[in-house]
Amino acid sequence: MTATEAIRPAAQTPAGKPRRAPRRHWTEPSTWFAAPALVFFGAFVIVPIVVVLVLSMTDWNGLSAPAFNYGGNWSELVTDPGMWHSIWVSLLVMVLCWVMQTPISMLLGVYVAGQQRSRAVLASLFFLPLVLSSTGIGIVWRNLLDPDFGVLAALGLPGINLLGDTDRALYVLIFVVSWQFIPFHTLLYQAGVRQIPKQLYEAAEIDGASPVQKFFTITLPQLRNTIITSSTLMLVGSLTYFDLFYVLAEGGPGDATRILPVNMYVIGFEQYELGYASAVALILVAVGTALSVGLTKYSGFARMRSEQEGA
Amino acid sequence: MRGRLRRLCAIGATLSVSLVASGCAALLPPSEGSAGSLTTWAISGGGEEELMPAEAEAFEERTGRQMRTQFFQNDPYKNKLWVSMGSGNPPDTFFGWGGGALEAFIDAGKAVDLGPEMKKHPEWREKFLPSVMSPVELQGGTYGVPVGGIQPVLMFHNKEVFEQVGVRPPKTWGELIDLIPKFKEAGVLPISLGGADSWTYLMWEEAIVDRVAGAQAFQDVLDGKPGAWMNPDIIKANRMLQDLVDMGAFGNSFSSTSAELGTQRALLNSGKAAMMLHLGSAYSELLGDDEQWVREGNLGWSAFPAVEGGKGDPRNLVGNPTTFMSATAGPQQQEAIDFLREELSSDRFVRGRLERGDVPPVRGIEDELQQSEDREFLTDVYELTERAPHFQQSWDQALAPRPAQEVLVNLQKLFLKQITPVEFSQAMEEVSR
Repeated sequence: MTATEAIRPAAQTPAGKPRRAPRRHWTEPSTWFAAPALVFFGAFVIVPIVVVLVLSMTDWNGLSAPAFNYGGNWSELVTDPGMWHSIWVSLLVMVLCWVMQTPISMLLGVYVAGQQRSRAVLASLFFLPLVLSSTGIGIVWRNLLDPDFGVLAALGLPGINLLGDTDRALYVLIFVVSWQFIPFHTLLYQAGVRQIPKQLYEAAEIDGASPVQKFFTITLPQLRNTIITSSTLMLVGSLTYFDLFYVLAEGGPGDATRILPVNMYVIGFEQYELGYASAVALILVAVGTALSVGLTKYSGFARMRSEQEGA
Repeated sequence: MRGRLRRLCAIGATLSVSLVASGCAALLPPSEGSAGSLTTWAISGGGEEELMPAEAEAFEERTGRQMRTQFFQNDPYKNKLWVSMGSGNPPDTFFGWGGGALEAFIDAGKAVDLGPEMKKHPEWREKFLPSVMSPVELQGGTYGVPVGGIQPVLMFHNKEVFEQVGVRPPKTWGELIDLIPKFKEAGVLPISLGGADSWTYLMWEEAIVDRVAGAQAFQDVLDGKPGAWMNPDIIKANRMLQDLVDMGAFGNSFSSTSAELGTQRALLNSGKAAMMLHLGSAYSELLGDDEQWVREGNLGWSAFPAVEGGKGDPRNLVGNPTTFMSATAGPQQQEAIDFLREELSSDRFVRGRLERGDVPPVRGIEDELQQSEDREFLTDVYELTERAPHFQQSWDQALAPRPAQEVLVNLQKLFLKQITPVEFSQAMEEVSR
């Protein structure tokens, strides 16, 4: 008997009997259980957000006392062309990362969900990037992509400028981000696929369904919740990419890859305009929250509807 | 239930209020460091970390007070120092590059003017080469003493490659331009440029603006004169840079080449490239990469070429004149100043720097330099600095943080031809306003 079952005895009510309202102390742990989490949430989320909100209405270089300029930072935000560029690049990254990662990790996940031993070996290889630090990955890729001493040069294709080209750099970065995070999403899909009851496939086989048909009519619909989880993580996560972008390109060349988090860092900690940077941070908070709330609400994820009958 | 919730809210509210209060307390100037002991901050991995602990001990012996030295990595150090100044708990003496950041500290009343003390001890001031002092000569005072080596930007070249192609290092811009097609024909990249690190562009920009427009052009920018960036000579200099890019002087993939990861140097000492413009630190870095190659006399260097008809003195230098130590305003500022004067300006400290292979910007060290294994390079750097009428500090350090950041971004765009020289000046003018 697991802990989950222990606090949910209602699920064990024998069929047929009218459901009684279960006794409270059984179904709900004391609200006090939430206190430590709430305290930390307050101290490290709510309080900083309030402080940032106040700072976003000031001019502050971190040295002298903050001076209130009320909407000054916010109106700068609207008129700053660099900010709009940065929002555009962030959107591009968000969409392209999703488009690149979702199909690959889904297919890989379906593949490694099989029970063959060779797949287990391959799976553990696929997961390698997951355990590396982002900074390490950034430095490694920066060296690999070097036009004079990198992999392509070693293969006899010297002088191919990838990270230094304003048109290509963003796509290269999206590739590296995908390389890093596809293993994680593959893991999600693998778990999702393994939970699909075998009977569904057996029934489909009796009906003479081809593997492709099985994928589209069973696997894909059954993975609905996994797709939503993985997509939410990808989309919201793409708002927090910083390390790879900074290590690989520092938002450059020029400002070609300056996504919002990088822009916030540069404004805050290189230009020391902490008030303005706070305003950018609040935008990130707002967009991130809106995205995850929106995704969970409109996708039906919040209702946690299972795809399986009777479960 | 309701009672419980109310209690929870009360606890939450109390906690957040106390946290906000403590947060505010962090913004207020707290009590200055405990009396008795002083703190010194500098960056790790350089001469400071090697030599300062001994000076701190000397200070303790002389005054009987404790001096704690702490060393940090270069990039995090800048942030840490800035935050410590803002939080009101700064070190008593601190390492820095002078220029815009130091000026921000002065504006906030955090740094002490050493001028009055230098007047009391004229021999202190006399010790240092005057051309390196401009980064700390701010707002009519002197806010630091040199502790580092002189780091002018020099044109390094691979002598082997020059011999193979049968040409000589360029003394003028015209000669440089003539060399580009010759190297390209020989299959050699004329100039190695580590554009993945945007500050490498800055060395070209500083040097050519100085040669074409003269030292006053950038001084006008620093002084905040309206239209200083729109100076036609600055625009002309940037046009010359773009011409150089168009000629293929830097190849096609310079924006992916990295100075920090060493590929810029590797192109030079592998013979794939002929020239490289870099800070003097490239000498010791090349020594570290391949000591034999340097010792066999394959590395050459010279000042940035003169520009025919330019307004700048060809003897002018750009780069990092040196690094500095400054004192923080506070109850212990007198002790901090004494530490700078007695210990960090001592002959013992200078000798330590010389032994490390640095060129300290101190008068009368020619004989000592002659005894070094690297005498050729060190003497050249010393003499170039001694002769220089003006030593322009790197722009990214001279400017305030915001324009410093913007100049790097816009230079990248200029070199990648995303913007024209006029647009560059307009963008910078906009930021300065």
